[in-house]
Amino acid sequence: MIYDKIIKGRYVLIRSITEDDADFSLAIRQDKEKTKFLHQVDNNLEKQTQWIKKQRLAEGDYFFIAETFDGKKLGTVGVYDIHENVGHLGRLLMVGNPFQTFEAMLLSMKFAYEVLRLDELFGDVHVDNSASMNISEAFGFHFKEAEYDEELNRWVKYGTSYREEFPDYEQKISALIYRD
Amino acid sequence: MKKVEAKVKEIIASVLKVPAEKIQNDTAIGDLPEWDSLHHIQIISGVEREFNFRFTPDVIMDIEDVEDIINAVETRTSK
Repeated sequence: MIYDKIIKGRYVLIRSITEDDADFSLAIRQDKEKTKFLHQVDNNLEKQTQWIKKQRLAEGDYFFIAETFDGKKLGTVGVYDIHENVGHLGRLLMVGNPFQTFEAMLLSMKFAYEVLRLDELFGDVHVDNSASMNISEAFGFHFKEAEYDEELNRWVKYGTSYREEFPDYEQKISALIYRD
Repeated sequence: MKKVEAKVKEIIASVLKVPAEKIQNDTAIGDLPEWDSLHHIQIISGVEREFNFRFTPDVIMDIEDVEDIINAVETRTSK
């Protein structure tokens, strides 16, 4: 689906992905180090473009590009699989500075809770991806014990974040990244 | 080792919970598994608290390794 507004922070903005972003979104998914814990994507620009076309029409699926105010693309983040006020937060893949990464995630969660008015967000993290786990927990995700995901053929931890808890975490994250 | 350099390395080692010897001037985010995004932000906050100032966003965006932090502190404290 397309969210037609640009969501601005202090370091980055997030906006709905377009077909023109296909080359960037494909290129960052080819970075072996950055994507070692993620689902692999074929290095095929036409397929990626078609995937974005479909994604923009898909109900309950928002996919954003994070970029600087002068248009430098930094990564992606998404809120998707939305059903009955519950959604999945993921597709977070950033090549920017950690402050930009944190703000992109903060903006996407604010979108989920304040614009879409979701009650809960789910996330899943590969058990060895301690960096992603640290970020997710800092944003208020509560993780269960690791489970084996047969579809993805890997051990993951599933976590949940709750709307009623988000303001407290938002405040803590804002204090951390803005340091006002 | 200069005073600022030593203090910056001490803060980084403390945030990452690693021995100070592991922190070299060219150690960058991602070089140590402990130095992830969350810890990077905590390092910057720790340095700001220690030296009692705030980096500007422009400076923060350019910080990638230990040397960058040392240089940023020295530039800021020399003003």
